[in-house]
Amino acid sequence: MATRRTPPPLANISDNLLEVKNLTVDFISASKAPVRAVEEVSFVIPRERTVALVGESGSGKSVSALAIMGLLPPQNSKIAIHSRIEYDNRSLLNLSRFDWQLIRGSRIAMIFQDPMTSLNPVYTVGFQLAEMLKVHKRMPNKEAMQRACALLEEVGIPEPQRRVNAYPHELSGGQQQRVMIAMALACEPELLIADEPTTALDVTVQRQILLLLAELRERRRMAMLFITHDLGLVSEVADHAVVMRKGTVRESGPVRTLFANPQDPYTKALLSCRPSVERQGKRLLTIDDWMGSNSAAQVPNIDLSDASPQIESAVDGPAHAVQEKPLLEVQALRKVFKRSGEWFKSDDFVAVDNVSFKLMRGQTVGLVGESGSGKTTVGLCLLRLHQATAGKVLFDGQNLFDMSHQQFAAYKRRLQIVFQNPYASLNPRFTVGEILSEPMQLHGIGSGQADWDKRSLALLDKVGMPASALKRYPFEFSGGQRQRIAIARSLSLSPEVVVLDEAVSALDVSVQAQVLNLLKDLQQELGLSYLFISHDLEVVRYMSDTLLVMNKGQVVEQGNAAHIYAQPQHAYTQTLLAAVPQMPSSVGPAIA
Amino acid sequence: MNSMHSSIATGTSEGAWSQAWRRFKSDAVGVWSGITVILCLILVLFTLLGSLAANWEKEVAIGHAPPSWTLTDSDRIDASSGSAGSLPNVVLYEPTPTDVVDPIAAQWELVQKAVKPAGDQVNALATHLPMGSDKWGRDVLAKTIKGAETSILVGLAAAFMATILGAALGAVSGWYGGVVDDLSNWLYNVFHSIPGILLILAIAAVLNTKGTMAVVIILGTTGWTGTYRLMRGEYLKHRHRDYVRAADAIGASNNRRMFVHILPNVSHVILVQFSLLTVSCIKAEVILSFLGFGVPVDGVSWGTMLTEAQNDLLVGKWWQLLSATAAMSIFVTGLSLLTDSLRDALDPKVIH
Repeated sequence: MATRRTPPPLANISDNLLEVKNLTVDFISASKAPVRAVEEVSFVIPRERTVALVGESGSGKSVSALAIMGLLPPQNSKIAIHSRIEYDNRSLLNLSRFDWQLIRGSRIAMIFQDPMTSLNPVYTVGFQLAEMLKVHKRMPNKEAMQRACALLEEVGIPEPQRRVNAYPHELSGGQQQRVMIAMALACEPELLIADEPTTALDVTVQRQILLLLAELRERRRMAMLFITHDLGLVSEVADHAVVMRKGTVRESGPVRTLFANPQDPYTKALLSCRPSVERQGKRLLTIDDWMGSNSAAQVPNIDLSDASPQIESAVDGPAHAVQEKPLLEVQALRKVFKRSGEWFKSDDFVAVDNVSFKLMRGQTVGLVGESGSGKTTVGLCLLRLHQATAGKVLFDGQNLFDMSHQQFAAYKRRLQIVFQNPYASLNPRFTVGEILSEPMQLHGIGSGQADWDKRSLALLDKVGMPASALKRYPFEFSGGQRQRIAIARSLSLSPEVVVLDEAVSALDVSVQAQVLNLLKDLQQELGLSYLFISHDLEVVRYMSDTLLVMNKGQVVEQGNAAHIYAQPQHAYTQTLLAAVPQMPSSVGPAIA
Repeated sequence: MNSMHSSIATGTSEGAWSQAWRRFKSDAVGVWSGITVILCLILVLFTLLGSLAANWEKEVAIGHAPPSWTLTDSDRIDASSGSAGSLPNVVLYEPTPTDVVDPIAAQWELVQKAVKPAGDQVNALATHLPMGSDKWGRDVLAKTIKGAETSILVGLAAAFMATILGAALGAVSGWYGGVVDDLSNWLYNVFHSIPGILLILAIAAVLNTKGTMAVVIILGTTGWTGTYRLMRGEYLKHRHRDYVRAADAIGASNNRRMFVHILPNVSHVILVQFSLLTVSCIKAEVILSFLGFGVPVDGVSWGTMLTEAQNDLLVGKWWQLLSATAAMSIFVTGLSLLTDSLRDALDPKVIH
């Protein structure tokens, strides 16, 4: 992409389209002290360039974008007096509602993360597009519909003449996002603000949308503010990047220099905490490794030397394991969801078909696929949280699916699961202590409350949580901390196999690295076997020994993880791997 | 990993309920309506113990004595001048006008003497009372307080019954689904398809027993549908939540997941439903008693008071109506406002 796009040299750019200076935003609430969401943020967006705002959740990137669009709720947010936002040398602060109408949509347009909720489900996409044109450009109805058609064609929707009459739910997620982009482009804006436009999409679709955005930006000579948490994307789409953390700008500059030679420890940490080929088999560097001390370069080195001998032993593992009997063996697993179709016809949906694999003790099987591939269903079937339609799961030679509920209860101890969303998987009315001691209570482990508390404390310690967490409720913790609690709960029964169902997908990259490290440590320490389910190819590669690639309920490729990544055989695996956004290669060695 | 712990403040943490309580306390309307409701409940407690309005059936004033605050100054002087010095607001029962010939005056006097010692002021009747008196000279204020006891207790008991019924049925139906769900939905549809008042009257006619308990049963068996629908929806929603799945994965039984895991997360719905139902049951009791299906004639409730007030109004005696409706408005409005505040305070979207 970088070669296709030929931006004009920097010197030719005479002026900046948007200037943000010392933007400071406070959120006010009646009961609490004001919270500073953004502090002294300054950046510029030159004409016809793409600037990326990068940061994790809570970094203030979206708040900055909303401030630019004048969309912050006026009753409980306050922009400091000395802040300035100038668009085309004109201040955007304190504009009247009427003035905003002339700017929003027609000069600055915005696309949001989730296209599903941004489109009105009761109107056709053509109607919604035409409405924009009618309101802003005062186009007559017929002309507006024609223009809507042309726009859909421009954003790469097939058969635009037909699709213009489609309702949002008839389109796929990628197509919906294309429609959102078409709506944003309808009035030919000069600045397009894209707030995490591809986060809700599968990796292959993400690639298409990125290509489309880059192409449109160039063709329409727009400027773009691209907001993302994914540094890999930044290197592909943006000219400039602004790295934010906790409401402040940590570092900003041209993307190439920023990636080649990051100055700020936080940027360095962000660049290094994603799993990638170079870091395969090594411990991931977390934010703390970088931010912990001033001489940031030294800490990771110590860490690396610590970790590497352990990893080698882990690499040795598979060689021994080949002779062993598999701990868990799945044979021809099939799951069909019953649906009633038309009269007397069933319209059954085959979610999983003919999935077989073996999981050795102390190893990790990775299950990777896009949304709807059936990978989560496999995990839920293993624990009998879904009733499998056919197939066998042999756990230590015993078929789990043949067992009665009483027989299976004993195996629940040995087979545990960690769910994707730590905000949903912990009962909000239980304290952490109750959450951790409940499994032991149910399975008759330990004796009495005092013993359970002792064991819970040991578990908390194992996952790196303080003892004070015991009496607290889940909502008092951040996402990463909650996921640690969920992991501690799954460990409370001393299981042998843990199914990790997208266990790190909902977490910020830096937290993700911490949790991945924790999982690796626990595997080493307790000899756990993991079934690691994820849509994230990099993470799965980092974690897994063997790998299954799933597509539409079928396993399309299966084998040694390293081999598959090196030489994908199946066409689907190849597209999947090609779609993963890559960090510029120069970064890797510079960090390591 | 070291720095992440710093975000956790030290000290004890509060659960969802104490958070809700804190939010509730900051809501002035909620607090005042809560105080009103609690005062009413204390009143009911006192009447139950017999220390208040126990003698409501006693004839303490002349029939249809007006409320004292409606009397003009001249009325008041008239009233006081006509009475025996030390007891200004009391007239003796004796005086029979001398200029009218009373055919039974002699017998009447004999009867009076037989029943009560002469000159005793027990049968002294007031000409006016704080809230007036009814046809038989009973104190309307005492009646209202006693009526509150009946109405509120019936409302609470019926609402309790309906909530328990609806919540249990809804939980089972939403959790198990399948045939259980179909059957309870059928029952729900049957109950819900018949207009409320008609159903209440039909059941009242079938039961054919009058009395406070009958009213409770009638309202309890007809009022559960709303709670059922909400609880079924909550259980349908929650049973596929990850935390319930996680409980399944660690081996929690059906009952445990239903009651230990999900119930605390939906209990706010039950609480709000209960106070909503109390309001509607009180209103329904009033309607039932008004129509003559409710509280028996020897009892008093706001409903029976309204029935009597109907006839009183024809002769221009409005105070019984005012007293009953005012009391009912205060309690029902207080309870409704309290419900609103409770709902706001317990909103799970705020609680996490």
